[in-house]
Amino acid sequence: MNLKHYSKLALIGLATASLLFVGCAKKEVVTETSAPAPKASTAPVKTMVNKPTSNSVYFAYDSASLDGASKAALNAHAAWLMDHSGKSITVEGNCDQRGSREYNLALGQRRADSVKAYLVAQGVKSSNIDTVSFGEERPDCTGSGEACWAQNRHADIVNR
Amino acid sequence: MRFMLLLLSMACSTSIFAVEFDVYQSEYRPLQLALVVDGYAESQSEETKLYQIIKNDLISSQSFSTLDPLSFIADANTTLQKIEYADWRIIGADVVTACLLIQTESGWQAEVQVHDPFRGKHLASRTFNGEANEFRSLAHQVSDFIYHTIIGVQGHFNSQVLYVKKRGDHADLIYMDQDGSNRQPVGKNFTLLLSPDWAPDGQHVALNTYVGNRPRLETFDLATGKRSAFGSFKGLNSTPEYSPDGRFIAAALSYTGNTEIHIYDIKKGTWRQFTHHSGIDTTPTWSPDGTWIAFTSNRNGTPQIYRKRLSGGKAERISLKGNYNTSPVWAPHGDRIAFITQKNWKYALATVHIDGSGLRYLVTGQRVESPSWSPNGQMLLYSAENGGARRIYRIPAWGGNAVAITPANIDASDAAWSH
Repeated sequence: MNLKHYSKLALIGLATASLLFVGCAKKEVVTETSAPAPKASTAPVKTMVNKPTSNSVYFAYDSASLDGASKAALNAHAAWLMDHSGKSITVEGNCDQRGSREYNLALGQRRADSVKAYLVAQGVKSSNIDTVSFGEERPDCTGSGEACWAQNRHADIVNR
Repeated sequence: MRFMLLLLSMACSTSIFAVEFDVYQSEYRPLQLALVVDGYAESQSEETKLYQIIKNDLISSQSFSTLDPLSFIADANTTLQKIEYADWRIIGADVVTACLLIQTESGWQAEVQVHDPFRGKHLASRTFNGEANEFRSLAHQVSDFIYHTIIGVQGHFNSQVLYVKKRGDHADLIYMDQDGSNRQPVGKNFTLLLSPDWAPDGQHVALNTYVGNRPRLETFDLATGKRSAFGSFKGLNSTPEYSPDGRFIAAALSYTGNTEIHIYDIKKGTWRQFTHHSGIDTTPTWSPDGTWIAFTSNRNGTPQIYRKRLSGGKAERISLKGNYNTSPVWAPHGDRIAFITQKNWKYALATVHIDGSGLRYLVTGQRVESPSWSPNGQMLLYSAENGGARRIYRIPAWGGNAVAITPANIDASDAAWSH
């Protein structure tokens, strides 16, 4: 809870700072959390969080757990969604082809739900997030082998 | 010997690509059947057709092989009048079936006798009648009669199979007789199509498809093609499975925030939640008496098979070996559950007693999935990948050879055998 609070402060602080330097890049904003800015809390900064460029997070075999990189990517989405509170998203869960189709549908749903739960914990409104699982039905990579399977174990954030 | 050759030729015609399946052979020797089919001169082509259908049925069960008709000493008519057991013993016939085909006013009549030449015993006789347009069904009835007389179990030759033909995101529901005839699409252009399950009435199919990028459960009327949604909750709506009495459909839904088994009352149109656990619970299957549901759950960390009473109580674990056990399907006679497991790092089709004992591997391969029992519990269908596309295979539940029953050039999966 505390962590979340600080990172939010930092985010707003940085965003405020970036107001002064018109046109600077904002993509890395979320990860640079070291310098809390004192006067940040009241500043009108809403338009300054950019939409994250990566919409996918990846998973280990038979797992719906989010790793550090996934959480960092999702923090950026959370920031953007809180900044654009009218926007709704759908999280689509996908699996590699190993295992049964039916079980993979449930696993894909769990991945989508896991992303949703994380975003909600960061403060995104639950009602703005829809989830769907495609199981193993829509592979990005149709071959076999871990290099291919790893690409297919993902959840995507899709804007509606 | 002839049987061996036939098997070889079957293996060749069904596997242009190398078959990678490791089959767990049974030591069972098929019974040598002298199948004597005769008719009158004007029904020569029907006589040949009848012989072919019955022969194909009985050989496909892998419980029979047929003797060459050239070795037969007597025709069907003579055999029906008075069988000479010694003549049939000489050519090594374990079973003699004489079948006389007679044309009637509206169709066909088949007069059938089954004999055991080694015990010199007349086992059974029956006369079958069918309309002209029911010829194949008439032939399958004769196959069922021979099978039942010898094996002591109902035949499955008048049953049908549904499967999913996938083309990218789209899929068709394909229907065929169990022997591959009458193959035709009955439902076209579904956006994804999974887990079709045949209602006990034989007229409806429950299935999982996507509409507007959302999964939902539908019933499909085979006669009219009408689709009716009955489960479209938030999140997952999947794996529908009719209860044996046809009054309920169990399915896996995730609207509670977690994938649980729920039960739909078809008449009332209401749902009730059946499992309550933070793990994934999916792929329900009913016991034949309708008092238990077995399902896949990862409640202990890995997917395993459990069963739970409809009346409630604790879920009992069935699968005891390995880290990946899914897709349980309860046998029609209730003694075993077929499921997908792993053996030597490959996916495998296996069966197990409901108390977890007597694990029996049937076949391993790539993407071995979606088992389905024949109505008499003697055969299983499953899908597996071979050379990029999935095909449906049929294998005896006691072990034996896997035989592809769908073409090599389509992606086929999710077979459902009629009840």
